[in-house]
Amino acid sequence: MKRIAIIILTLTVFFGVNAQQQQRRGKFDVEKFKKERIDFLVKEIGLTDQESKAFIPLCDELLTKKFEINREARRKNRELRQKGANATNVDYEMYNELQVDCKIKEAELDKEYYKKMKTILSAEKIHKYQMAEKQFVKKIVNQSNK
Amino acid sequence: MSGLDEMNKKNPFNVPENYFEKFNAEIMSRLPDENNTEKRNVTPLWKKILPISAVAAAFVGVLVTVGFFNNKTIQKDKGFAESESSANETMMATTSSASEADDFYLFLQDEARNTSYYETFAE
Repeated sequence: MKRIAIIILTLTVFFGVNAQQQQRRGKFDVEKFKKERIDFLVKEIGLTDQESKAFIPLCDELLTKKFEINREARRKNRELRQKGANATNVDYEMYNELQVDCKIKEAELDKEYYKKMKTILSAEKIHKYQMAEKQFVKKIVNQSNK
Repeated sequence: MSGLDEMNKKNPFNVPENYFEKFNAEIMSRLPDENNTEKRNVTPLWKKILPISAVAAAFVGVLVTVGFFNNKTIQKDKGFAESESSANETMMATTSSASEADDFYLFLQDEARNTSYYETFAE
Protein backbone atom coordinates (compact mmCIF):
# COMPACT_ATOMS: atom_id res chain seq x y z
CA MET A 1 0.00 0.00 0.00
CA LYS A 2 2.85 2.31 0.88
CA ARG A 3 4.58 1.51 -2.38
CA ILE A 4 1.42 2.29 -4.32
CA ALA A 5 1.06 5.62 -2.55
CA ILE A 6 4.66 6.51 -3.42
CA ILE A 7 4.09 5.59 -7.08
CA ILE A 8 0.93 7.70 -7.27
CA LEU A 9 2.65 10.62 -5.61
CA THR A 10 5.63 10.43 -7.96
CA LEU A 11 3.41 10.32 -11.03
CA THR A 12 1.33 13.23 -9.78
CA VAL A 13 4.38 15.38 -9.18
CA PHE A 14 5.89 14.44 -12.51
CA PHE A 15 2.84 15.23 -14.56
CA GLY A 16 2.05 18.28 -12.50
CA VAL A 17 5.41 19.75 -13.37
CA ASN A 18 5.01 18.70 -16.97
CA ALA A 19 1.61 20.30 -17.11
CA GLN A 20 2.97 23.60 -15.94
CA GLN A 21 5.40 23.57 -18.77
CA GLN A 22 2.91 22.42 -21.31
CA GLN A 23 -0.16 24.30 -20.30
CA ARG A 24 -0.79 27.58 -21.90
CA ARG A 25 0.53 30.60 -20.04
CA GLY A 26 -1.93 32.61 -18.06
CA LYS A 27 -3.63 35.71 -19.29
CA PHE A 28 -1.34 37.72 -21.51
CA ASP A 29 -0.29 40.97 -19.86
CA VAL A 30 -0.87 43.59 -22.56
CA GLU A 31 0.25 46.53 -20.45
CA LYS A 32 3.48 44.83 -19.55
CA PHE A 33 4.04 44.03 -23.21
CA LYS A 34 3.48 47.66 -24.23
CA LYS A 35 5.86 48.95 -21.60
CA GLU A 36 8.61 46.49 -22.52
CA ARG A 37 8.06 47.27 -26.17
CA ILE A 38 8.63 50.98 -25.62
CA ASP A 39 11.82 50.34 -23.64
CA PHE A 40 13.05 47.98 -26.35
CA LEU A 41 12.29 50.40 -29.20
CA VAL A 42 13.91 53.36 -27.48
CA LYS A 43 17.04 51.31 -26.86
CA GLU A 44 17.24 49.68 -30.30
CA ILE A 45 16.47 52.78 -32.33
CA GLY A 46 18.52 55.05 -30.07
CA LEU A 47 15.79 57.61 -29.55
CA THR A 48 16.46 60.84 -27.75
CA ASP A 49 13.97 62.08 -25.17
CA GLN A 50 12.51 64.53 -27.61
CA GLU A 51 12.16 61.93 -30.33
CA SER A 52 10.59 59.48 -27.86
CA LYS A 53 7.92 61.95 -26.82
CA ALA A 54 6.85 62.48 -30.41
CA PHE A 55 7.50 59.05 -31.87
CA ILE A 56 6.30 56.57 -29.24
CA PRO A 57 2.63 57.67 -29.22
CA LEU A 58 2.68 57.36 -33.00
CA CYS A 59 3.94 53.79 -33.08
CA ASP A 60 1.56 52.86 -30.25
CA GLU A 61 -1.28 54.22 -32.33
CA LEU A 62 -0.11 52.25 -35.35
CA LEU A 63 0.05 49.01 -33.38
CA THR A 64 -3.44 49.54 -31.93
CA LYS A 65 -4.94 50.30 -35.34
CA LYS A 66 -3.32 47.23 -36.89
CA PHE A 67 -4.72 45.15 -34.07
CA GLU A 68 -8.21 46.53 -34.69
CA ILE A 69 -8.02 45.97 -38.45
CA ASN A 70 -7.23 42.29 -38.05
CA ARG A 71 -9.71 41.73 -35.26
CA GLU A 72 -12.60 41.07 -37.58
CA ALA A 73 -10.49 38.71 -39.67
CA ARG A 74 -9.45 36.78 -36.56
CA ARG A 75 -13.05 36.57 -35.40
CA LYS A 76 -14.14 35.23 -38.78
CA ASN A 77 -11.28 32.76 -38.72
CA ARG A 78 -12.43 31.45 -35.33
CA GLU A 79 -15.99 31.12 -36.59
CA LEU A 80 -14.73 29.28 -39.64
CA ARG A 81 -12.78 26.82 -37.52
CA GLN A 82 -15.71 26.30 -35.22
CA LYS A 83 -17.88 25.43 -38.16
CA GLY A 84 -15.31 22.94 -39.36
CA ALA A 85 -16.82 20.69 -42.03
CA ASN A 86 -20.06 22.69 -41.90
CA ALA A 87 -18.35 25.79 -43.29
CA THR A 88 -19.79 26.73 -46.64
CA ASN A 89 -18.15 28.15 -49.70
CA VAL A 90 -19.72 31.49 -48.86
CA ASP A 91 -18.04 31.47 -45.44
CA TYR A 92 -14.64 30.79 -46.99
CA GLU A 93 -15.19 33.44 -49.61
CA MET A 94 -16.10 36.02 -46.97
CA TYR A 95 -13.06 35.17 -44.91
CA ASN A 96 -10.69 35.26 -47.89
CA GLU A 97 -11.96 38.67 -48.94
CA LEU A 98 -11.66 39.90 -45.39
CA GLN A 99 -8.05 38.71 -45.26
CA VAL A 100 -7.17 40.47 -48.48
CA ASP A 101 -8.92 43.67 -47.38
CA CYS A 102 -7.04 43.56 -44.09
CA LYS A 103 -3.73 43.37 -45.87
CA ILE A 104 -4.63 46.34 -48.05
CA LYS A 105 -5.75 48.38 -45.03
CA GLU A 106 -2.59 47.48 -43.17
CA ALA A 107 -0.43 48.57 -46.06
CA GLU A 108 -2.34 51.86 -46.31
CA LEU A 109 -1.92 52.34 -42.59
CA ASP A 110 1.80 51.68 -42.82
CA LYS A 111 2.11 54.25 -45.58
CA GLU A 112 0.07 56.83 -43.67
CA TYR A 113 2.14 56.47 -40.52
CA TYR A 114 5.41 56.29 -42.41
CA LYS A 115 4.71 59.79 -43.73
CA LYS A 116 4.05 60.98 -40.18
CA MET A 117 7.17 59.27 -38.85
CA LYS A 118 9.33 60.88 -41.54
CA THR A 119 8.62 64.24 -39.91
CA ILE A 120 10.04 63.01 -36.60
CA LEU A 121 12.83 60.52 -37.39
CA SER A 122 15.45 59.96 -40.04
CA ALA A 123 14.96 57.21 -42.63
CA GLU A 124 17.64 55.14 -40.92
CA LYS A 125 15.86 55.28 -37.58
CA ILE A 126 12.52 54.44 -39.18
CA HIS A 127 14.15 51.39 -40.73
CA LYS A 128 15.57 50.45 -37.31
CA TYR A 129 12.12 50.89 -35.82
CA GLN A 130 10.57 48.51 -38.36
CA MET A 131 13.20 45.86 -37.66
CA ALA A 132 13.02 46.33 -33.89
CA GLU A 133 9.22 46.11 -33.84
CA LYS A 134 9.27 42.78 -35.65
CA GLN A 135 12.09 41.38 -33.53
CA PHE A 136 10.42 42.36 -30.31
CA VAL A 137 7.09 40.77 -31.20
CA LYS A 138 8.86 37.62 -32.27
CA LYS A 139 10.87 37.56 -29.05
CA ILE A 140 7.79 37.96 -26.86
CA VAL A 141 5.85 35.25 -28.68
CA ASN A 142 8.89 32.96 -28.48
CA GLN A 143 9.12 33.52 -24.72
CA SER A 144 5.43 32.91 -24.22
CA ASN A 145 5.58 29.67 -26.17
CA LYS A 146 8.28 28.23 -23.92
CA MET B 1 44.48 -47.50 34.45
CA SER B 2 41.91 -50.27 34.58
CA GLY B 3 39.12 -47.64 34.85
CA LEU B 4 40.43 -45.90 31.74
CA ASP B 5 40.67 -49.18 29.86
CA GLU B 6 37.06 -49.94 30.80
CA MET B 7 35.91 -46.53 29.64
CA ASN B 8 37.57 -46.94 26.26
CA LYS B 9 35.65 -50.19 25.67
CA LYS B 10 32.22 -48.80 26.52
CA ASN B 11 30.40 -46.41 24.23
CA PRO B 12 29.43 -43.46 26.42
CA PHE B 13 26.65 -42.44 24.08
CA ASN B 14 23.36 -44.21 23.88
CA VAL B 15 20.24 -43.92 21.73
CA PRO B 16 16.74 -43.91 23.18
CA GLU B 17 14.98 -47.19 22.97
CA ASN B 18 13.34 -47.93 19.57
CA TYR B 19 14.51 -44.53 18.31
CA PHE B 20 15.16 -45.53 14.75
CA GLU B 21 12.08 -47.72 14.55
CA LYS B 22 9.88 -44.86 15.67
CA PHE B 23 11.76 -42.24 13.63
CA ASN B 24 9.72 -42.50 10.40
CA ALA B 25 6.40 -42.51 12.18
CA GLU B 26 7.32 -39.49 14.28
CA ILE B 27 8.46 -37.41 11.31
CA MET B 28 5.34 -38.27 9.35
CA SER B 29 3.18 -37.25 12.28
CA ARG B 30 4.82 -33.84 12.35
CA LEU B 31 4.00 -33.16 8.71
CA PRO B 32 0.85 -31.08 8.03
CA ASP B 33 -2.30 -32.93 7.28
CA GLU B 34 -2.83 -33.48 3.54
CA ASN B 35 -6.50 -32.57 3.82
CA ASN B 36 -5.65 -29.17 5.25
CA THR B 37 -3.26 -28.29 2.48
CA GLU B 38 -6.09 -28.38 -0.02
CA LYS B 39 -7.78 -25.51 1.75
CA ARG B 40 -5.51 -22.63 0.85
CA ASN B 41 -6.15 -19.01 1.53
CA VAL B 42 -7.26 -17.90 -1.91
CA THR B 43 -7.07 -14.13 -2.41
CA PRO B 44 -10.09 -12.91 -4.35
CA LEU B 45 -9.29 -11.68 -7.83
CA TRP B 46 -10.69 -8.23 -7.12
CA LYS B 47 -8.29 -7.78 -4.24
CA LYS B 48 -5.37 -8.65 -6.48
CA ILE B 49 -6.45 -6.20 -9.16
CA LEU B 50 -7.42 -3.37 -6.80
CA PRO B 51 -3.95 -1.90 -6.12
CA ILE B 52 -2.98 -1.96 -9.79
CA SER B 53 -6.27 -0.42 -10.90
CA ALA B 54 -5.95 2.25 -8.22
CA VAL B 55 -2.57 3.26 -9.61
CA ALA B 56 -3.87 3.21 -13.16
CA ALA B 57 -6.93 5.28 -12.25
CA ALA B 58 -4.85 7.86 -10.43
CA PHE B 59 -2.47 8.05 -13.35
CA VAL B 60 -5.25 8.57 -15.88
CA GLY B 61 -6.89 11.10 -13.58
CA VAL B 62 -3.72 13.15 -13.44
CA LEU B 63 -3.33 13.02 -17.21
CA VAL B 64 -6.92 14.16 -17.76
CA THR B 65 -6.57 16.94 -15.21
CA VAL B 66 -3.51 18.40 -16.87
CA GLY B 67 -5.14 18.14 -20.25
CA PHE B 68 -2.70 15.60 -21.59
CA PHE B 69 -5.31 14.19 -23.96
CA ASN B 70 -6.40 17.58 -25.14
CA ASN B 71 -4.05 18.38 -28.01
CA LYS B 72 -5.42 21.86 -28.39
CA THR B 73 -3.96 23.02 -25.12
CA ILE B 74 -0.56 21.49 -25.60
CA GLN B 75 1.88 23.99 -26.98
CA LYS B 76 4.55 22.50 -29.13
CA ASP B 77 7.71 24.37 -29.71
CA LYS B 78 7.68 24.08 -33.46
CA GLY B 79 8.25 27.70 -34.32
CA PHE B 80 5.90 29.90 -36.20
CA ALA B 81 5.76 27.90 -39.42
CA GLU B 82 3.28 25.60 -37.68
CA SER B 83 -0.29 26.79 -37.59
CA GLU B 84 -0.35 26.62 -33.81
CA SER B 85 -2.19 29.88 -33.44
CA SER B 86 -5.07 28.43 -35.38
CA ALA B 87 -5.37 25.68 -32.79
CA ASN B 88 -5.17 28.28 -30.05
CA GLU B 89 -7.83 30.31 -31.76
CA THR B 90 -10.14 27.35 -31.84
CA MET B 91 -9.47 26.71 -28.19
CA MET B 92 -10.19 30.28 -27.22
CA ALA B 93 -13.26 30.39 -29.38
CA THR B 94 -14.73 27.55 -27.44
CA THR B 95 -14.47 29.55 -24.20
CA SER B 96 -17.27 32.05 -24.80
CA SER B 97 -15.61 34.97 -26.60
CA ALA B 98 -11.86 35.53 -26.75
CA SER B 99 -10.72 38.03 -24.15
CA GLU B 100 -9.02 41.23 -25.24
CA ALA B 101 -5.68 39.96 -23.95
CA ASP B 102 -5.98 36.64 -25.76
CA ASP B 103 -7.04 38.38 -28.95
CA PHE B 104 -4.06 40.71 -28.69
CA TYR B 105 -1.74 37.76 -28.20
CA LEU B 106 -3.17 36.08 -31.30
CA PHE B 107 -2.51 39.27 -33.21
CA LEU B 108 1.11 39.21 -32.03
CA GLN B 109 1.44 35.58 -33.02
CA ASP B 110 0.22 36.36 -36.53
CA GLU B 111 2.67 39.24 -36.78
CA ALA B 112 5.52 37.07 -35.55
CA ARG B 113 4.60 34.32 -38.00
CA ASN B 114 4.54 36.74 -40.89
CA THR B 115 7.97 38.00 -39.85
CA SER B 116 9.32 34.45 -39.75
CA TYR B 117 7.89 33.62 -43.17
CA TYR B 118 9.41 36.77 -44.59
CA GLU B 119 12.81 36.05 -43.04
CA THR B 120 12.72 32.45 -44.24
CA PHE B 121 12.06 33.39 -47.83
CA ALA B 122 14.34 36.42 -47.74
CA GLU B 123 17.25 34.18 -46.73
